[in-house]
Amino acid sequence: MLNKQLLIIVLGVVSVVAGVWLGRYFLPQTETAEPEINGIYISPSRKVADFELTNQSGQPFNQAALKERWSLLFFGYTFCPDVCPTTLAQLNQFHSRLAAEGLDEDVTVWMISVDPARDTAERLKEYTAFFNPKFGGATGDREEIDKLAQQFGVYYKIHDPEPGADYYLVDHSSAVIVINPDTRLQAVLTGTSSTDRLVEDFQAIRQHYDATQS
Amino acid sequence: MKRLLLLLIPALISFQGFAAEFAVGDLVIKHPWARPTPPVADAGAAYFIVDNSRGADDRLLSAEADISQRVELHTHLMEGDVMMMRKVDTIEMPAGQTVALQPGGLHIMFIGLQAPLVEGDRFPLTLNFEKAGAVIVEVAIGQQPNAQ
Repeated sequence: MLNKQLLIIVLGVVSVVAGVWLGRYFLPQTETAEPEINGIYISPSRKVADFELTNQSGQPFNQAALKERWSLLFFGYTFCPDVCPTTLAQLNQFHSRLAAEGLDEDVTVWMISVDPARDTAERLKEYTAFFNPKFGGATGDREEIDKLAQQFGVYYKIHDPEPGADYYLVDHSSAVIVINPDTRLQAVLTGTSSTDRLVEDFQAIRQHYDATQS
Repeated sequence: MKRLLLLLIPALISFQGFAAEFAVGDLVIKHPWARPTPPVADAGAAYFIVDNSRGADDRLLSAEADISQRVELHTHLMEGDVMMMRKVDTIEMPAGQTVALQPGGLHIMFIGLQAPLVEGDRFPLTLNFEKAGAVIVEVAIGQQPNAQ
């Protein structure tokens, strides 16, 4: 009698598992439709090519630093008075919103300085920590910065000082690059005007990633 | 009710912090503010709104403040998602219009900050308009006011 009940239970479990498994293969995957975001969703995600920079603590910043977590990369420079502080302040709001829901543990924000002549690791540390002590910063040789920037389509240009000026300006992409826990490029967020939208887009990206993991 | 109060709190705070208007001639300069800067930052920016709905064409010629070595007028040109910051000689204030200096666009740039801009502090900024003349506004250091 007991064995018969057990058999029914086992058969029940097996059929549910089989049903779910078959369903995954044969039913339309509406719940894993690609997220519609403010920017470009990269599908399939793209491998990040090697690069070697130095982080805010003087340690190597390379593929290993991006492993098994979500990384948001922003390219800028500390002399930047407007766009970089605005973006970092917004990324801080974004990160705090995730933190409030306990969703921030595997999310790191990085500012990559494209201006190594003025930005040292130490300087970046103070700069990024001002916005959020959990944020990281990295920079390095121009060649290595280019390796990172170019593969994401991030453009920047360092200008010569204007006549009579003792400083120079840098044009740079304002995009936020999203790298998934497999160290692959997953999205390029552009024109992120509101923190709400940023949180929404990132969560949609993460959920889609989670849903498509086998 | 609690929700409503929560919604009101930021509005009240920003009202207290930024309910600042400064008039010169026909121009009204509203909500001058600047973002706090990290201790290592060399540069900062200030923003405000200029209401020229009552006046004739005017232009901002320069700005002065003793918080930095230089004070310049800057704008951002955007090509795709690339921000290109440029110095401009003047900022036009067309008759009947409101011009916003705001993040990602026109701003007053402070180069060679003497000290970091600290949240809650204020500093005087002189704006020199071609027709309306000079006016001293008080810039509040804090986050972007809701009005913008």
